[in-house]
Amino acid sequence: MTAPLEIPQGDPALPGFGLRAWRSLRKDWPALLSIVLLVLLALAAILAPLLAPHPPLATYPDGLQANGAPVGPGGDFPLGADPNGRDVLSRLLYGARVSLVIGILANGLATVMGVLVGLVAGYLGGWTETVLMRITDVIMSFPILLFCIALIAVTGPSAKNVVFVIALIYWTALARIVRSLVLSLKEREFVVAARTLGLSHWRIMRKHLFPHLVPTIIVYATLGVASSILIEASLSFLGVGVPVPDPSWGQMIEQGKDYFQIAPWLLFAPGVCLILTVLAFNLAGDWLRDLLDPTAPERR
Amino acid sequence: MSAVVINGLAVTYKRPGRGLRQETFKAVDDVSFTIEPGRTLGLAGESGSGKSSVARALMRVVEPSGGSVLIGGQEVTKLRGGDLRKFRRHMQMVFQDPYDSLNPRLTAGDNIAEALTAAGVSRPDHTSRTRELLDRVGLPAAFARRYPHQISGGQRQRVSIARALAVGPQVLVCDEAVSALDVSVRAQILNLLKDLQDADGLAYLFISHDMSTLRFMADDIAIMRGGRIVEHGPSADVFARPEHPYTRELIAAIPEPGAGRRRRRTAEEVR
Repeated sequence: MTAPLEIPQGDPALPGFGLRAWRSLRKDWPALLSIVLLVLLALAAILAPLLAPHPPLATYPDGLQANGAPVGPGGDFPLGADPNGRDVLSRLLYGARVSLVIGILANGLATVMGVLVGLVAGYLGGWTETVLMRITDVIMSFPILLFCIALIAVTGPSAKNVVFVIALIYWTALARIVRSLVLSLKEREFVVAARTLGLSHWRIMRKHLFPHLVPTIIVYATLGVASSILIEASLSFLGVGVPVPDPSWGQMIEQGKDYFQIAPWLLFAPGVCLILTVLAFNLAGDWLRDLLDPTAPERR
Repeated sequence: MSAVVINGLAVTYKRPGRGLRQETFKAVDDVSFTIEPGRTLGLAGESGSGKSSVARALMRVVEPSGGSVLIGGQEVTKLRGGDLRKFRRHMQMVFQDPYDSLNPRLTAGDNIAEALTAAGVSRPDHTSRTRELLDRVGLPAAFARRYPHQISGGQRQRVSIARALAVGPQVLVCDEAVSALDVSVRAQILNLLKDLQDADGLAYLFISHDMSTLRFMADDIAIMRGGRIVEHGPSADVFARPEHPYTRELIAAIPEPGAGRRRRRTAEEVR
């Protein structure tokens, strides 16, 4: 039984996760930049009460010029004032809390639902699949904004309801993607092998199917944070998002768009923040996907 | 008691598409055979002859549409749900593609540990059992920490065999288990399989399209064509006195060492 074998050279086992993460970050500067940005953003949101020069809801008479137009950036208002005489920087910092929390929570909830539904439907097949996927089709066939407005009209506008409504809409796309991946994955020999070993359905889904879905899930989840933030903005604009005086980035953009010729900073400040956040989430997502794949070649 | 008794096995696939008139395709039709413990039945035939469908129906990966499968006296086709899951450890399979049959996200050791979990081996014992199993298939313990893409095809197939052995089966189905390997590695794996059979008294259903592999491995041979067994008998008889014309064709297709060179020389002499 002793067949000639080459002796393994060195230790091929991968180094620890933290070490690998750090090594790949040093080589991948866009990812490094994104993560730094996301950390700063999170800090800004958490420390908003300390960082903000003014209360976000306070209106200042000297924020407005004699003709009623808001004052520009500089002096007492680093990023200018809005048409109500409120400090834009302060609102931006507090708005980061709302936008990030809604984006991450809504999308996290949607991701969990979408993965569960897609995984169970694709793996079990039969009636379970038919029922779950027809529910998905029904929800997907609704016009998104109209459906959101109807739901919020019933439940009442609040940040919590916005999260639930966005999650309820957004799980469907991921459910379809996950199901189609599982359909091809479950025919792979290692999944058939897991079945013939007599492992439970739950364990096969958890250990043999789910890890192969992670790269796709990460990409869609990071893209989803961006679209969740944008949906929240649209809902705020239509008056069914975060209730009015509390700032969110989407709401600030929508309020600022009427003044962009005389006060462009009202659009630029939250707009740039939104773009950078979305970009950072996407780049960090790409990096994380590569990091979690042991078969991906290490970039030198 | 026979390890495997298959009687009148049939497998029917649905053609794609839904509608009032569902078209079906009969991949396996009235196949019967027995395998005794410690013996090997070689199943041969061309692509699409139904060899793999027989294996998959025996393993209950596809549902047989008729007939009976007895493994160690237990009727397998009637088992459902948890009963089937518990019984699966008595029959195991080594797959064709060593690049696809191990979970690429798990190390070789963790792939084997999945089988130990299925067999109900407690977690603290996994490491020592994995080492034993790797040793049985001729791999050093250090391989436990390697990922499938870091080891060769033959080594992967050894890990697959170790995984199948982990649950203590009576029957091992090898579906083209060596077809994807190059010739020298193939011989090593075949020898390993023979050694394991001698040690454990395993019954093998050995599927191959390659008659020379079967001549080496099988005690009995069954030839399949179009979903049916067209010839069935002890290996020596089938090779010495093939009865069915198709069997003769298969045997004639075995390449003989040096045959090509001889033929070329005679061609030159004629010129």
